[in-house]
Amino acid sequence: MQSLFPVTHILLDESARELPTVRHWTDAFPHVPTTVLGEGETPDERLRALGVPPNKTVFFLTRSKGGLVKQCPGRTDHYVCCGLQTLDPSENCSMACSYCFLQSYLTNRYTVVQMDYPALTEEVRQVVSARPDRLFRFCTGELSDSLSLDPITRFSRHIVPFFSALPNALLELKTKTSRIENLRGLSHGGRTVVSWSLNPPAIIQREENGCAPLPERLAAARDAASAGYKTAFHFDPLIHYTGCHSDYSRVLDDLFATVPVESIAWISLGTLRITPFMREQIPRVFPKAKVTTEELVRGYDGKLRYLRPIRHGLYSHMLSEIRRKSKGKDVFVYLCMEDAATWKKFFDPAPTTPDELDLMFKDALLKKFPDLK
Amino acid sequence: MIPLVFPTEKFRWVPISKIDQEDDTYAFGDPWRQSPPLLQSIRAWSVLHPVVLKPVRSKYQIISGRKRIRTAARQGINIRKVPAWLVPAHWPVTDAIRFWLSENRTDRELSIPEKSRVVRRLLDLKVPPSSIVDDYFPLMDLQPSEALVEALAGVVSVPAPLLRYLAEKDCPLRRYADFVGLDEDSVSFLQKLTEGLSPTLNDLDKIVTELLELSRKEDVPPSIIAESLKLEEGLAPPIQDAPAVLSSLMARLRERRYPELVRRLKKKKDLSRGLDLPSGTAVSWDPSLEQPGIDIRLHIQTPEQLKRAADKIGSDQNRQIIEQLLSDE
Ligand code: SF4
Repeated sequence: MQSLFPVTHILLDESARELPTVRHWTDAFPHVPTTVLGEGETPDERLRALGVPPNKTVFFLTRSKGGLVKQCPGRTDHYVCCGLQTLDPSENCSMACSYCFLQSYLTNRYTVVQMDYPALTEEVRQVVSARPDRLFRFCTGELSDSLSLDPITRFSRHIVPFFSALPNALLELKTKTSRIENLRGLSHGGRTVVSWSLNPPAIIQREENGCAPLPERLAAARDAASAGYKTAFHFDPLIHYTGCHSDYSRVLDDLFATVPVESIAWISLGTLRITPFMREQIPRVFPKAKVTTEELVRGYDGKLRYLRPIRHGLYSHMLSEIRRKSKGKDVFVYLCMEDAATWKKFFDPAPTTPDELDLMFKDALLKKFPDLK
Repeated sequence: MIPLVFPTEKFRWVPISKIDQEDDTYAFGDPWRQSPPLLQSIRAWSVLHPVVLKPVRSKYQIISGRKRIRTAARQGINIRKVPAWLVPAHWPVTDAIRFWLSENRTDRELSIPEKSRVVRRLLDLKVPPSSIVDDYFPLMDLQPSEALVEALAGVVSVPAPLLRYLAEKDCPLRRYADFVGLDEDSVSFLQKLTEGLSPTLNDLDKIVTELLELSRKEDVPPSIIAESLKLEEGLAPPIQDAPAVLSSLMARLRERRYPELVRRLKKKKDLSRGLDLPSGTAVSWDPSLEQPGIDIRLHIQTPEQLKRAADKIGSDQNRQIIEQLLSDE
């Protein structure tokens, strides 16, 4: 079982001080030094004055000033994006995956946690009510892991019941942990998808520092499914190396042996993407990591990717294995951040725009889960 | 920034034998910095400008004037004493470092390795990064950023022979880190490489990056990769054609590092040689193979030319080759 994350200092925004959620932190970490920040004071200034290094074990508990619901940042002209909305109740992650963009950009920064849960849900309500025809998907795992802080924040207890009452939205809690304890017994109304990013054990051990091992993730997925949650899986990033195809096949074997296919809302596939800056940083920050050692070329968006034929090889392998191992049962699979040409190679019909993919997503979900109508 | 107060000092003529030249508390200057006029001036006039010394136990530490003392002591010049300002023994090292900085920045810009030595020493003295930024960065003409403290501290870990090369090539700060973590054999190979071929900073950077990546991928030291690729071949002086040696060395490295890309590009090139196209036609493709397809570019001036060119391009032979070129994607 993963240990809880380390907390060395708590910075409390004056404006959040009276919120009841702050107690979750002060009760859980009574001996951790806590500093209240006055109005207009920035965490950086205060940490400097205190001589505390601003790393992610420092938690800044604050109150949202809005703008926490966003379009997935992956959306560009060249790649077909799935139209996900992101909701960021926290920023920075207690784990440390070598390939994660947070590692390069936020390594030395503190972790921000939003304390005003009703303000967050209100933002979501406004977005979904403006487009009743759409089936929105919101994910809280973009700037953090959705569940790594949940044992303390208990955010899931607030957000899951909230989504159960929305007619045109799904919540995705995306994680590499097994921390689903708060999800038990919640009224989710079938509108929360708990998703796990998966990789072969050797990759988890070398590249996904501090994350739960594969068997723990799969056991948690099985438990979530038996509690009635929909599940989803992200093979993203797919990492290429000699022998990777058979390793990914074994992960799929384990997945389909552990989690009922009926609960799986989607599986996404996306090969490794890193920025040139990350390519420089990763070997320095993670000397054991090997993700930068493969052949990577610059894509249309300036990010580095595997050569197109290598990406295609991985997709083709995964798609045929998923079809074979799920025994023809309906599993919606999509590609993350791929161009229309790649989609066309593997899918018929293939979406050419984010809107088309959004529609495909909606149709597939409503077909498999009529309760979402 | 706290103002620097120079302590009440005494002027003395100090015997060179009483000065501890091995003490490196304030040895921040680049050892490779040459100053031939200094030697001539000392030969002619002895040491004129007083050095700054601090008494420590029975000897003196050099705060400023290290090069003058070295030159006077080592060049066979018959000088026994140098003029010196003596600062009190209790003067804090941190203040003396600020003094060193203000003295040295007046006539030249400090190099990155020099700034790095200063930062390292300050960190060893447990000066907090925020104070380094506030009290020392202005004296080094650096932007106020704590991230720079860490980056600078790492520079002196670059092996000495490369450090000089990088400083002389005006290597930007963030690129020094690429040269940390090399084993001894790799450093000796890179030393031969820099001495023999004098690569640009970009080429050197590429070579080191790829060597390190291959070394991590294959779990062997970079020198083993260099050896297996026979990268040292051709580095023995005298080198006749340095650019040719460098490009063949880089090609070998690239082939090992990007085997699939190199193989596919070569195949494309070989196949495209079989195309029978109007003269002046250029065939190209995206060198990263990210953009599928090939570009066939030709210049047309008349409708007749267009017809002839279209017939030629669309021949059965060309069609077959182009199909092969595309199917490989
Ligand atoms: S768990 Fe997710 S958010 Fe956290 S470091 Fe890994 S990839 Fe980044």
